[in-house]
Amino acid sequence: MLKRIWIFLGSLKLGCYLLWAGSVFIFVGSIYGQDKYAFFTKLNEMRVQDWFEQYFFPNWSISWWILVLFLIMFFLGLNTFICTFNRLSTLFKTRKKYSTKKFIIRILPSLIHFFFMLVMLGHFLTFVGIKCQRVSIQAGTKFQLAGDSLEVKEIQNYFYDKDSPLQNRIKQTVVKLTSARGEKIYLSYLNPVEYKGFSLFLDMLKPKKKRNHQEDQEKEVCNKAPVYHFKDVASKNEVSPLATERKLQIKIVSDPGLNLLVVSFFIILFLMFGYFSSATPFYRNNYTLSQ
Amino acid sequence: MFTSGHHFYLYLVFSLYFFSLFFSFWSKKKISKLSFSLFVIGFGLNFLYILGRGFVGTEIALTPIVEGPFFLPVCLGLLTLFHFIFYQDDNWRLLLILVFLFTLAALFYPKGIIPPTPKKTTFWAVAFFCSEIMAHACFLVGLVLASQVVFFKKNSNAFHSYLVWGFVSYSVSQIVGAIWSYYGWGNTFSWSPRHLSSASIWLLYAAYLHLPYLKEWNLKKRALFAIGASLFVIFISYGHYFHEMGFKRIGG
Repeated sequence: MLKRIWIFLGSLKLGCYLLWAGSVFIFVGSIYGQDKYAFFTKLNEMRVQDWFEQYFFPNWSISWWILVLFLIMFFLGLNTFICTFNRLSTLFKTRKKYSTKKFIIRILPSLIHFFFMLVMLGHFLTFVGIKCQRVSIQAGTKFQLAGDSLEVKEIQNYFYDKDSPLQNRIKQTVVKLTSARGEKIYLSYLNPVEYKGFSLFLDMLKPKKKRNHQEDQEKEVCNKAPVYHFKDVASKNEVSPLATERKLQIKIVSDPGLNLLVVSFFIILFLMFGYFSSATPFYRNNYTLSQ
Repeated sequence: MFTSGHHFYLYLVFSLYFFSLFFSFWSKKKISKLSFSLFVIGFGLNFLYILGRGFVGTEIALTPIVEGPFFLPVCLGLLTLFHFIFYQDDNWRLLLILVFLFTLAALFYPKGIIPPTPKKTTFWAVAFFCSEIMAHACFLVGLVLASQVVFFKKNSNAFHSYLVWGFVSYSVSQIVGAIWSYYGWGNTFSWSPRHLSSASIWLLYAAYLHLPYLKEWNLKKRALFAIGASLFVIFISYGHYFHEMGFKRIGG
């Protein structure tokens, strides 16, 4: 009986069905996410168990798919583990049948699956262990981080050239922070800073508007740009009300899954290139399948 | 750059692709050569046109170069060239139809550039769009080649390599996208529609990669799957592009 369960849970067919199911439910989630952008993106900054406690049950009619997705991903992880284990044990038993090169090529898919499991584990660690807080800042703001006091000394905006069609738009913002011990920290967009085990990110939020606040928050640009622009182009070189309303924030993050995730990502890529360039060269019609 | 802000070049590119496609139906070798030459000239101009999108006055912005509706025909053109050189069969003519259709779609798309926000001015963003759109192009080529198996009973698995490498390219995009997302927003994965729909496509093609190992999934069934998956990719990607049509743009 146990053996039959083991074989079923590790079967390739089940793996395919789980991947499909995962694809379908994530897609369903993306449709819900279009209407309730702010609701679902709270998950980015909360531990999943806290999110479930606060938001899942009261809103189960729109969030049910997340539970299904986690279940699917759990079984996919299990399926990948059993499948990889079975394949590796068979491969090592028949090791002598292959030359070293052929053996390496045959073992690569299992390694890819192994690192895929690590990617899933990395995501899992992020979901259950992420710590995140936001601090709205302006010059003079003080806040505590890991028992240390930090102060925003200066905020400097850099704009595109005046001759450019992009004039009056912010190119970069640099925030100068100092700690109580006099350490200087420079924070800007896309340049996070590590401080006492936390990562500090510069972010900007559009202010809440009474009329269409919900709509604004739930808009998202396909290519990840925020909907807002920083300064009104037609403002005749004056800082427009729009620009002054923007709220700069420092996002403080501690992500326990990050290192595992990034390392596994790059190893997977390396292995994928190695495997597919030998098993399925781009220019060859009749590919071979190495099982 | 001479093509910057001159969308006339896109219309010229479209015309060259049109005539290239038109002449490609002739079986005479000379006319076929003319068709290919027109395509190569069109492709070169198309490349210069999208390059020109990156020169915004005195500034250079990279993300407008790789904006989906304009970058996709270039990727498809590149794959068509690649197919012509390495496969040496007649399928490049079919791929030309794709190039033509997606250039046509670009003609109706707002041609100005979305002003780059500070979080988009990074190598990771460009790498993300490049690899994602190249993956889409591979999936679309897979769609055309798989259609031959389903509708013309051609016994060829040429579509498979495009889907495999499309998947590899898509995996690259997911990884560099995660890194970009982390540097910009502090998360490697976001529960936003954009990330979720990307993950959905990745899982779908991950499932496809496993199908050849299942006995019941013969060539025709896999080809059908490839067609369905590629149509799903078009639906998702053009869904995003339509959404972006309403954004404030410069020029165009």
